[in-house]
Amino acid sequence: MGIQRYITYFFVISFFSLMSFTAHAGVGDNAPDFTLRNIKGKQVSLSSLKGKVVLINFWATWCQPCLAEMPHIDKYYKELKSKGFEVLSISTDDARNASRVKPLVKSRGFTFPVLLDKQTKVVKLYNPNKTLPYNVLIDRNGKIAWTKASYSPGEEVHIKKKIIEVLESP
Amino acid sequence: MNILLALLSPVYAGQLLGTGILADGAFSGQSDFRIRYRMMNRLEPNFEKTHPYLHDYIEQIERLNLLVSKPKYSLGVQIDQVGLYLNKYILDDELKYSWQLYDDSVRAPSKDFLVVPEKAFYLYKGKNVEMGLGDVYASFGRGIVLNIVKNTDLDLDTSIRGTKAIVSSDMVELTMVSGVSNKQQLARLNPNVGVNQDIPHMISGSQLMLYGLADGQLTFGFHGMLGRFGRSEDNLLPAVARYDEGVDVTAGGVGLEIADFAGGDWYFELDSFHYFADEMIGEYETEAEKIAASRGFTAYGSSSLYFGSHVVTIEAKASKNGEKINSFTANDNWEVASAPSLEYERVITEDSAAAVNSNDIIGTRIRYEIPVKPNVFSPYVAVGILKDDDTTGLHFNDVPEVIVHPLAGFQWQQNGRLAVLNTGFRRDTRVSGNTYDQLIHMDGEFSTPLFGAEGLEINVSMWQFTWGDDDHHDFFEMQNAYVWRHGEHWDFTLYQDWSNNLQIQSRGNLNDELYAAFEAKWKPDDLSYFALLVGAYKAGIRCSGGQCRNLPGFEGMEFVYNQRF
Repeated sequence: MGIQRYITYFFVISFFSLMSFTAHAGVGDNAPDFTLRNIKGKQVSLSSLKGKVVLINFWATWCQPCLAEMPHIDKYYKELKSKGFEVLSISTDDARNASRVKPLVKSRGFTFPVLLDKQTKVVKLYNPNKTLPYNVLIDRNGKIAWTKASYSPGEEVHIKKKIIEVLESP
Repeated sequence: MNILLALLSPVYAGQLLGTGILADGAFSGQSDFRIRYRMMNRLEPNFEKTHPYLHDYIEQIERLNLLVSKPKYSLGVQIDQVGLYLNKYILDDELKYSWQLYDDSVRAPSKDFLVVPEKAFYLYKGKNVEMGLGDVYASFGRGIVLNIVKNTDLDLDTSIRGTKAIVSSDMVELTMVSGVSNKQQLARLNPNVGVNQDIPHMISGSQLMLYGLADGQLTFGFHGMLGRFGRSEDNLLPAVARYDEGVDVTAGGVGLEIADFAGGDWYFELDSFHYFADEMIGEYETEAEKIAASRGFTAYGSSSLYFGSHVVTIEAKASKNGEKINSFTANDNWEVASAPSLEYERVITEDSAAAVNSNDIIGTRIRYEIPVKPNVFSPYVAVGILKDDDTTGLHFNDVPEVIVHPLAGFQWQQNGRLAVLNTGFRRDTRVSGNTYDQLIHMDGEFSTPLFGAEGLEINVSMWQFTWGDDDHHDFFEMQNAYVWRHGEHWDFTLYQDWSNNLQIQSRGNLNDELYAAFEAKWKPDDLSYFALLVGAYKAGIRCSGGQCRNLPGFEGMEFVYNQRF
């Protein structure tokens, strides 16, 4: 019973200690760099977009809320691209669904770059619980400015507000 | 001293960031804390004899993902912890367990408390080289010979604990991976009872991809893998012992992708399997039968044809003995490889789950996307036609079946309103006897803003299944959710399930067929949420990523605190 008590105490104390730490950490950390292939087979690295505001949008062909959110992201991409806004749309479909990604992108007419993370490479760095959709906004200095999990209709207004905030920040 | 203090206190670890080797480092993570009161006061169907002492208990789960990253490397861990409470009683001065957290194969200091360092990885990223040590994932081709990736949709996360290297340039990419499987031991969404020691399997493989051939139109790939699977008697041996034993399976193949050719994109893949383990080959009477049973193949092709914004996607697959590669791991609820299934996985039944994992199947799926007004109104029609010759394993039928499954649906989205509908009808006709089972299904979503900051979302899913001449009861099931959104911070959801399927192992809380649960969710900011659920939801089979799992039902109360940082 003694060991059990100590383990329990250690875990509980560490947990709350961590929570108190996170209250101060927040965003502002460097975004881990990655390289993935796009749907045309070309390599794309996050680091190649340094100096721009980048929205990483994780989605999957079977994820209905993702498909509802993506037209809004494409609209913001077209509107704000000239101001230095970039989108990296990352399909988290595994290899078996890879043939379904490009047709979906073409049929919906999305214009942003779409990358394939078939091997859970970037997901495990940014979104280990693989919540979908999942957005990570990175500022011009390569630091994570904001993250958001899930999507409900109407929340796109909030997403746009955050993008503009980060675009206008020094 | 600093390292010791950092290990003992995450607060101190946080203070170290920005100093020494952690300069320019980023520290992030996710914490998911859950505590459930599980009501077990009624005997579950079919468990009356094996679990005679059912009573309520409390389960507490914490999943913590931590990541330290620098421009060139990342270091990550996932730690899971589970505690059970009220899971035991004293009878005649003797301690008895109604719900044991783990069985005798697991060694831990406490019977009711388990901490498992599930995942740990180190990733190095150079200009043309990436190296992973620890828990890595790998998927080759279309996943037919190797597809070990996270499947959090089903609460599954098996990785390869070993090493992975990727050497790449614009035109060439070589991936090499080798290690032993590491199945996630503790579940976040499912009950943690009777957890047993995972027996690792050795998995190694490599893939060479050539991109941009023939003016960028062609991509060519070769891949191969080999595996040695652990048996129950290997429980006491170290995992690396798998490397010193004979190989149970080898598999490999080639893939060819042609872009922008004849009005579309094309993909072809052919893989072959060679089994050496008796457990995988199965029963046979003659040497010729043994040879046939020890070989397998899967051929898969897809073509996407573009007519303006209209798209026709055709997929076809033929597979014989391809699923045997999962013989050792299927019982552990994960798969080494999973080929494209051509099934509609959102509505799956016990019967159709068998076809998803069929060992002898040929078929095609055609889908036509008709964007009447792109990103506003996008209807589609689709049809799947399959011949399933497998009658073993999970199959209910004892003769081959021809499956025809037409589908139609649409997504409409305008002025903050969203409507999605998918409908289908599936008939599995037995090739002899002219009998069939059939499924009619519908799922959809409707979402609209209401007055002020209020919003309403309705999710419905229902299906009716008739067994034909099998000795089973026909059934109707539905899973619905009605969500009231109160501003940005509050969601109130009423879940309502209904099922008279005798195959599922749960009963409703309102009556035997009817389940209801209410959830209040508070999102104080974009990084965290609290949720409280009271009520019940039904058990049932669920498929995702080509894998199917029987998920248990729930009755009781659950509190969730999820935080990202």
